[in-house]
Amino acid sequence: MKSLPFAVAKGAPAAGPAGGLDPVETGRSLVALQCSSCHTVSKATAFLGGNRNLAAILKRRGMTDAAAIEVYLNAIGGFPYMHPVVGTPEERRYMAQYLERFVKEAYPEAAQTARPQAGGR
Amino acid sequence: MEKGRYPVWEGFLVHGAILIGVVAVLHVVFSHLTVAATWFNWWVERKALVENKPYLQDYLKASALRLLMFAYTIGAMMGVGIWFSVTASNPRSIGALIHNFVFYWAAEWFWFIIDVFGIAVYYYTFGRVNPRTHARIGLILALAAAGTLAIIVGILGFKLSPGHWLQTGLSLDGFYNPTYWPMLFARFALMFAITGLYAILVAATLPKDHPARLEVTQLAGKVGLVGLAVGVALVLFWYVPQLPQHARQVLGIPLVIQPVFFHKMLLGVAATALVLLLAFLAPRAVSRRAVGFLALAVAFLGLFGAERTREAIRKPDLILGYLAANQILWVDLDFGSRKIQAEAPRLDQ
Repeated sequence: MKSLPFAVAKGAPAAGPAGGLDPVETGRSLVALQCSSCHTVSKATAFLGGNRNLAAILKRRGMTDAAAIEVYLNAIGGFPYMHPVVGTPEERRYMAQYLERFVKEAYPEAAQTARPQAGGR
Repeated sequence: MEKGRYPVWEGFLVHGAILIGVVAVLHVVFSHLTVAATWFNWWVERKALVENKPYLQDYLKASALRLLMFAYTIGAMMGVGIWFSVTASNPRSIGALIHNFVFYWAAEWFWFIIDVFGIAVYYYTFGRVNPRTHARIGLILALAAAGTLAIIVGILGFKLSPGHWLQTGLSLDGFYNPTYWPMLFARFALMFAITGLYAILVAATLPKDHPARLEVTQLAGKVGLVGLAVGVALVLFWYVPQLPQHARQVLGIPLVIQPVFFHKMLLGVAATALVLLLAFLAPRAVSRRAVGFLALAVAFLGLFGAERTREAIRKPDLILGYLAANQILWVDLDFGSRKIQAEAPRLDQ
């Protein structure tokens, strides 16, 4: 997992479940790449609550499972201050799965209510 | 342009953006302080010569020593800190700036070398060269300090308002961008307010009965107030109207620019104005170290609000209309001789 590339290239071994890599970790790379310049995307930088912490935003909007998060990722587009998400549908799914894990790490109580996800850790 | 592939750095404990923010605003405080202080000191030194007030030299020595020991040292270190933190958190955008402006930075460093060596020369030649020569050294120092400002403002303004660069790709178009002149003059004016606070602090370290103490405090109040008033007016009536349409739209969105940042700016300006006004009217009451430190701390808060706001209104881009904050290219640019192809559509496939 340490050898994951900066962006998941087309056809690269890490690009899909067939590559034998953890989709959630792949999602983590994609989220770090696309979102971390403005958002706190992991507990590593969440000291003092973090900066526009994605876990907090998603929890506040009631999106604590991957399916809801994926719908939201695809819907982003109308903000003048934020670009839409880029990536193939598969990559967006991985991003949503990682974000679900992040929300649950940050808010363990949210894990009780949401349904368990395959491919989580 | 070679596709940049770099590791992603999120930050350490705090988000990378906060780290850059704190380092950069400290740099702004100290660098602005040093630039205006060189001019203020040159003016005071001239006054000492023309009006035959040799006791003002004591203030100048105290000021120059602290500039050398603290302001230049910390300011320069934080300048390097900006390079480190931005390179770690956004390598591609600093790469884009270097591609466009490497020779401008080289030119800035020439000014900077004169400036940094100059303050040492200035301090160590007190009483060792004739006073007129010393005042000239002060003027060279002040000109070099202003030179660094005149160059970095072009690169800084480019990120928010690339202007014609988006059509021509010429670095001079990017450098003399729509906000270059307003930002240059606004910063040059506002920095005298910071220097005014610094001068009050330094004057307060002189002995209680020293004649320079009250005189410099009053001068600092006068110069600082003029700088603050002119600077705020330039920002409101020249800089803001020159902003790109996008930036003015984002400025009005409370989700991006939370009201707290406007409050910080207002508090910073109001507190600074009050201290400077009191320094002018009642120098005896204001001439205390605690007042100086406290006023500089509030000014830091105000600057944090202002700089953060200026940085945030180009969201979602690092270089507005060219490179996104997450280092992805969103638009096709055609400069005639060379083209830049958007990456976002290809990343969706």
